[in-house]
Amino acid sequence: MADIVLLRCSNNFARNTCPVTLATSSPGTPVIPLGSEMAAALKLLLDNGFTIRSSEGDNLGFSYTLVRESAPAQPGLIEYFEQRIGQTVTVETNGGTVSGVVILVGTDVVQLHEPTGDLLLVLLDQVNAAYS
Amino acid sequence: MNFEQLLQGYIGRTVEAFLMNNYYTGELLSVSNGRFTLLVTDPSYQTPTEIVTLFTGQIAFVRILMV
Repeated sequence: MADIVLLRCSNNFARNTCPVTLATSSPGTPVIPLGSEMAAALKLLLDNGFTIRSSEGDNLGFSYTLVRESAPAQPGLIEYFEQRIGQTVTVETNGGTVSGVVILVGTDVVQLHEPTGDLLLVLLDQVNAAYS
Repeated sequence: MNFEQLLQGYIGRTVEAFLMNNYYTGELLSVSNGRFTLLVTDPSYQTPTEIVTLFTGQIAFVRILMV
């Protein structure tokens, strides 16, 4: 199920800011306080797995539509693997234990490179334990 | 990038899909919302040339074989 956020940010040339003036979203998405800076709001959403689906600018400001195709796994799990990109980790899953070099971390998956040359796509919500 | 987007890049490759108590080996044929299909090629566990649909919620990991 996709999560959707719509943002409207209005230029304030006098203060050199562009705060969020309208934010609507589907349930379960990060809260974007009105008045927060456009760049900070976009960073928060991108860090939580959203991608910018459309963006428009006009004389008064900017409008964005952001979509997250699937809810991310636990942020701590993503952080764990992101900190170990390029390192070998061993992962215990419900389907067995595997190990390899972390090469990519997605919103719900981690990609490992095994010593044999094979690639692994491990679903993060199936990870029971990991050690490196 | 999520699991399905990543897996789509390996259509045509031979993969092993591991579930909690089973695994399937075969050529990855397609990936769609919440599922993917394999042309199973492992005759010791499955009927040859059978197309198996697997649901991503039940998958622990997928191994993309080098060859």
